[in-house]
Amino acid sequence: MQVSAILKDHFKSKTLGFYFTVAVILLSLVQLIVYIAAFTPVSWESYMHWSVILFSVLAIVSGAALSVSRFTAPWAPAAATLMEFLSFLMFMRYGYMYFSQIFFSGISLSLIMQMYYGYLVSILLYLLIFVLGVISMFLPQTKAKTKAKAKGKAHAAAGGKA
Amino acid sequence: MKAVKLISKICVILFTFLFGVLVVGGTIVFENEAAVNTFFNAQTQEVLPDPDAASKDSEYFKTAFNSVAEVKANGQVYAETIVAEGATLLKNQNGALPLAAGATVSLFSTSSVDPIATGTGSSGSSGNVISLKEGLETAGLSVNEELWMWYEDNLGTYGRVKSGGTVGTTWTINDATWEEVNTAAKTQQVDAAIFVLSRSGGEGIDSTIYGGDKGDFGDGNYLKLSPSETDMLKNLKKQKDAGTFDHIIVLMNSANQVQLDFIDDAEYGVDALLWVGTYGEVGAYAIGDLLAGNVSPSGRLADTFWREHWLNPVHANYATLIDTTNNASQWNTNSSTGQNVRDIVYQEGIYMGYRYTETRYEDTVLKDKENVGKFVYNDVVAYPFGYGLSYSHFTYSDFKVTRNAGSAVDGTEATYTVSVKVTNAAATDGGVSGKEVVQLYVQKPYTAYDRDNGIEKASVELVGFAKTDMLDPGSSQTVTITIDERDLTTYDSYKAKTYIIEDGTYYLTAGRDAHDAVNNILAAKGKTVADGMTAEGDQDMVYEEKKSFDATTYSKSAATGAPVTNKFDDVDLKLYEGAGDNKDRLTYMTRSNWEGTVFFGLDEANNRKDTFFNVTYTDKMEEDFDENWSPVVEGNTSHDGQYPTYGSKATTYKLIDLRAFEDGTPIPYDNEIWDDLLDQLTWEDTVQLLSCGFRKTNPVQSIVKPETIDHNGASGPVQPYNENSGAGVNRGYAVRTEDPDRSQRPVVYPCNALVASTFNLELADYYGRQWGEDCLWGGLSGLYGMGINTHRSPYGGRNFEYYSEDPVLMGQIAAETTKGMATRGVYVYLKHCFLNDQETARCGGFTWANEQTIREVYLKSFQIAIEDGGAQCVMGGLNSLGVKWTGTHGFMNTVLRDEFGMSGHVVTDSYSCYNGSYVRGVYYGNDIPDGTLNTGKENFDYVKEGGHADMAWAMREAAHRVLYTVVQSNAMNGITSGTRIITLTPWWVDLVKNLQVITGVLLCVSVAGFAFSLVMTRNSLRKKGGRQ
Repeated sequence: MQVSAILKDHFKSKTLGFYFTVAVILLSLVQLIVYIAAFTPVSWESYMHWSVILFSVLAIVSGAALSVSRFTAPWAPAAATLMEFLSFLMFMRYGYMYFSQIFFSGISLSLIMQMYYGYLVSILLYLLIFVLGVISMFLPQTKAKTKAKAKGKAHAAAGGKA
Repeated sequence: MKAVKLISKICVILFTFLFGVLVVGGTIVFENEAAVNTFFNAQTQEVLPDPDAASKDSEYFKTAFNSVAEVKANGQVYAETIVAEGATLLKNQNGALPLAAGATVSLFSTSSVDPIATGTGSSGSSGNVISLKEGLETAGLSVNEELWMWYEDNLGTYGRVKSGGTVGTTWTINDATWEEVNTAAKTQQVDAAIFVLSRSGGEGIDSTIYGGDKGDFGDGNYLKLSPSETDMLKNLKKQKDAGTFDHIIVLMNSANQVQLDFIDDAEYGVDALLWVGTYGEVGAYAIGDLLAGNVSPSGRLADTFWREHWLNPVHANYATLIDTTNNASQWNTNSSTGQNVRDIVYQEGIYMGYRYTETRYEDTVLKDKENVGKFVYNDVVAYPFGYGLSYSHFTYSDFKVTRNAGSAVDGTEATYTVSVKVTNAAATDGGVSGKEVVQLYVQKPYTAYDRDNGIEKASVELVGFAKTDMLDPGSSQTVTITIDERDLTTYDSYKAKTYIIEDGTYYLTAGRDAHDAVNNILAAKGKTVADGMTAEGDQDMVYEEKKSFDATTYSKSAATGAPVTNKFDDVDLKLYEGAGDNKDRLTYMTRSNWEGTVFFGLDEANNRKDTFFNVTYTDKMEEDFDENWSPVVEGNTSHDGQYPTYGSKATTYKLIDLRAFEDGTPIPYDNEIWDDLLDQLTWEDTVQLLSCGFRKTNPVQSIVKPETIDHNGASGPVQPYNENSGAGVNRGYAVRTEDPDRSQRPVVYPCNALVASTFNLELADYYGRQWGEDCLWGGLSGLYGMGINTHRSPYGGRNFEYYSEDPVLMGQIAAETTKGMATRGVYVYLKHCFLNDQETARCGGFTWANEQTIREVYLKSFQIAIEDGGAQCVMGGLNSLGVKWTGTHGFMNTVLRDEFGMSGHVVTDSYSCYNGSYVRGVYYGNDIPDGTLNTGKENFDYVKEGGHADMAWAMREAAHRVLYTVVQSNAMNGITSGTRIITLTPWWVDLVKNLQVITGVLLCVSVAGFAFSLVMTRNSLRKKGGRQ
């Protein structure tokens, strides 16, 4: 009961920015799973690189860890997005030859649709993560404490319990 | 402060993004430096001339022309001559051709105003293509102007619609039906209706034979008449019957032969058929001359023209008819493309093209074998290999064959001299002056030994040919063809494992085509039309000789003396140790059992039959496949584990010093001076030479080895004459003389099948000289051509780049063209070596064939061009031989060099579509990658660490081959012992590096600004808190 109350209180103090950050973290996790699933088969492993996984893991861990405390929460979206960006850069660094192959004769919608799901889904996820991450960076992660304190003081002055 | 915080936050995000993209993007573009240089035409080297150059003749290869305009004019002459001598008259009834002087014609189909001049892809070109109307009018014919204008005006509505990019282009047919064409125009009274039947082909995609986007192809078969074409031809017949015109003439404008099931159908009423291939920029003039009778046709088919493509058994195991879903597995998906790789089993063996049709025909007539099955020659073949009509008529007589014994003393081998007298019989039947092609075919005995040992024999094989001079009516010429006895050998893959002569009777015959040759031999065997022959043969044109079994005389290479034995066991599922159950399941086509071993990919209704051989994979296959990707070859035994000398200062040779001795004699490859020069190379020089071959060979400053331009052109050079001039690499005449036309491209040359169809070796030599001139003026030292893969199927995407279904015709034409180009200092890269005969799954597709098939058909054209033409280089195929990528298979050393005597280097095909480690490939004789990737380049560093002497010496030998090729080429024009070369950093490299620094600094400033704003905000809050 106490735990659920704590959690309830915790989430009560969160704003929309926090949920954007959570979305970034969850999508990073999905991206990580997709990447591992798509690039571990032998025929694709030459495009796989440990650094992509490392930065994705760091994005998830740092985003989640920083979100816990209200003091570090404002840094959570930046850290998660930055790590995912590094992951994306490594993804492109070690996989760009695929694009030179598939778009050798020019870019068209049908070719894009024919892309290997590992690439198509990963790119879409990365883009979504970046958009959500950047938006989240400009949003407060928790409700302002000063207002809550002021409310409490006003309540106490009126004879209630703070 | 809030605003500062917001701005700095935005700046941090923005510059983080830019810096990240620039750092990673920079890494990628630096890895692909050569491609980017080409794109920007960025200067990469500067050649500082010898101060004493004026006193030295450094033009080692000189041009015969004074300007680009002159070169192109000469090119147009040869391009036109090729069409005039290669276009083949296949049908001519009712006096349809030649047209009378001043005859009027109506040109039908949108292709009449939009014909196909060439193919698409890396060997495609563009230019000012002369229209058919101009070609015909120049020849003295008159064209129905109203109809011409209608097609021109409606070209947007009707006509081919392109889809796809430069590579992988597909086209619809989308022609106008009879009803849709303007009535007044189409019914104008003329002498003849000419229907232009066009089909395109190109790199990256094969034509569809079945399924796919059927679009307007009717049943999905691109090489069959489309519904709109069928409608048009049937209506033309009605108009002919109504007297609108007297004849219907079809011009087949395609390098991929159209299925000719309609050609003798009375419903269509076609009187004449002229195959004109994809005829290039000026071929229309030649077509006009042929139609008007100014030139008598003398082309002969370089391929069998099928009446029904579904009766071609190669299609059981061809391209799109092979189901990927059935035989794809996880590990044979191409790693660079992610596409499923297909197995292409050459199950038909040697029986491809006329080797199938004529052999089965002979067996049908002879009736001496079981299970011949039903085979009606005329239902299968419309026109046989070698076929072609003329406006004249030639008779053959005085056929003589002389055997010239070889000599063990001087090492010469036995030869045969064959002569035949050709007479232009026009004096008696009213023909005109013309040329005739004499084709010499051999028939080897099909013996019990063959049946027991998996050897197959075609009823006839082309072994030589000759074209007469222009013969006036009534005049004669005796043509002489010399062949080697070696040409009568057979490769025994399973027992002797070398070339053998067998017990039995060998036949030599001079025929007008492959079918005529079989008929001659059948006549010599006492057969007549009464036995089922399609026509009587001429036994006077046949020479017979009995021979005894010999597995020794020809077991050594004619070029090098090296022993010849099996090198492709791993490509044959009957011999490959990892074949598993495929060994027992696979049955090659055999004339011992036609009925049981001939499979078709389609049925009579053009429905697909899953008759392809479905390879099942084994662990050994996977193991061998994975080895392709092993970075290097482990081995430290060469030279007792000692690495070569690097960076020696003992000598100070420059590459030019190794061009020739003082008396002008070329310095041989194995001269010891080469060792000194190779010792001078540093490790970095060696890696520099071997790490990039993307349309070039890399420069080496220390030995003044210039960068070369080696570019595309399987059927002739296609790049502008000033290609790479901005890079400071192009030292061709056009750039050096600042020719006003230097930005132009060479002439659009006709397809190579037209070159083959000329059967004219002298013309091929001059054609090669013309290509050499294009290269000399365009600064090209190497040409990615000629394309000498085999026309295994009419549906091959790149058939316009390749010559023929026959390796001897293709090899001899390519050999002469190679010699012609060598006179201008151009080295050729014969491509794509080998079994790369289809575009579908070309990237890494597993190709399987037995050694007899490989040596007698698919590798033979390369062998002839190398041994007889002196071709120095090849481009490896993207395919795999068995499961081994061509680059890591090893045949480049063991066969091309050791047996054929090839002296130059090998470049991979596009190394963005690879199937193995190119650094590993160096060990196997695959010297440079056609790519700019540094991916894998680190494998050279692995060699450098030590313990890889075998790889190090292979690298040295590869460098040797590149240098030896270049020093004998026109790349050395203008270079003397006093010349210096400075390699330059391209401008864009500096730009990218500077941008990286600038964004890095801006990022730091933004971060600092953001941090400052945070601190200030906090202080501000504290102050506020204090006050409260």
